[in-house]
Amino acid sequence: MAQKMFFGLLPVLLTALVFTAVLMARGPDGHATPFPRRTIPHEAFQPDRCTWSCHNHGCEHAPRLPDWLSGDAGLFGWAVRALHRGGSLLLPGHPREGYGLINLLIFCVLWPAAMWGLYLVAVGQRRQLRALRRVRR
Amino acid sequence: MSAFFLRGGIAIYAACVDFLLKVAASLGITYRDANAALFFLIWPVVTALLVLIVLAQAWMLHRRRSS
Repeated sequence: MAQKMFFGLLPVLLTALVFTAVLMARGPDGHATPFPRRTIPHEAFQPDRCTWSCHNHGCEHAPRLPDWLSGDAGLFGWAVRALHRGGSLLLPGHPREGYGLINLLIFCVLWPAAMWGLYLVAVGQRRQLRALRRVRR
Repeated sequence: MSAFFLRGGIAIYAACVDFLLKVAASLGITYRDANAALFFLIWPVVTALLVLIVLAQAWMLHRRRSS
């Protein structure tokens, strides 16, 4: 039972561990990231790296990935526009909060939950296959 | 109640952006690149792999049970 729970929770624990480790690591400014933040930060543009300015005002740095993926006309730009539209529909009159909320719903709840669900199904199937193999022997 | 959710939402959203900014800085890529790589390459590939594994194992289970 404990082993079942451990393997079931493993991806969640690992994700939380990596997430926390990255946030606690010292950044280029020599500080760990403050958590929890109470407001969306405003930072100055830095020519050598991305800051919150890139999030708040759009990133002006030259992307490394191809344009079809991370350009304004690519998947990234399309997704941001779709999320803004979705956010305006979700919370009419509060487009910024709506944008944040739809981001959280899709990328922090629904998609991770779908991946976790698929993982749990795969682990359960693997257990059933092993049990069937044991019965055959 | 709504203030509680708003504060929690901002804290989680900001932590996610901070995570991507730090990953981008440590890999020498842009925030956009980190976003695009995670949500349009890594996650879709992981999701597709999981779907394939589930389908393959379902087929194997079906075969074993029916034989």
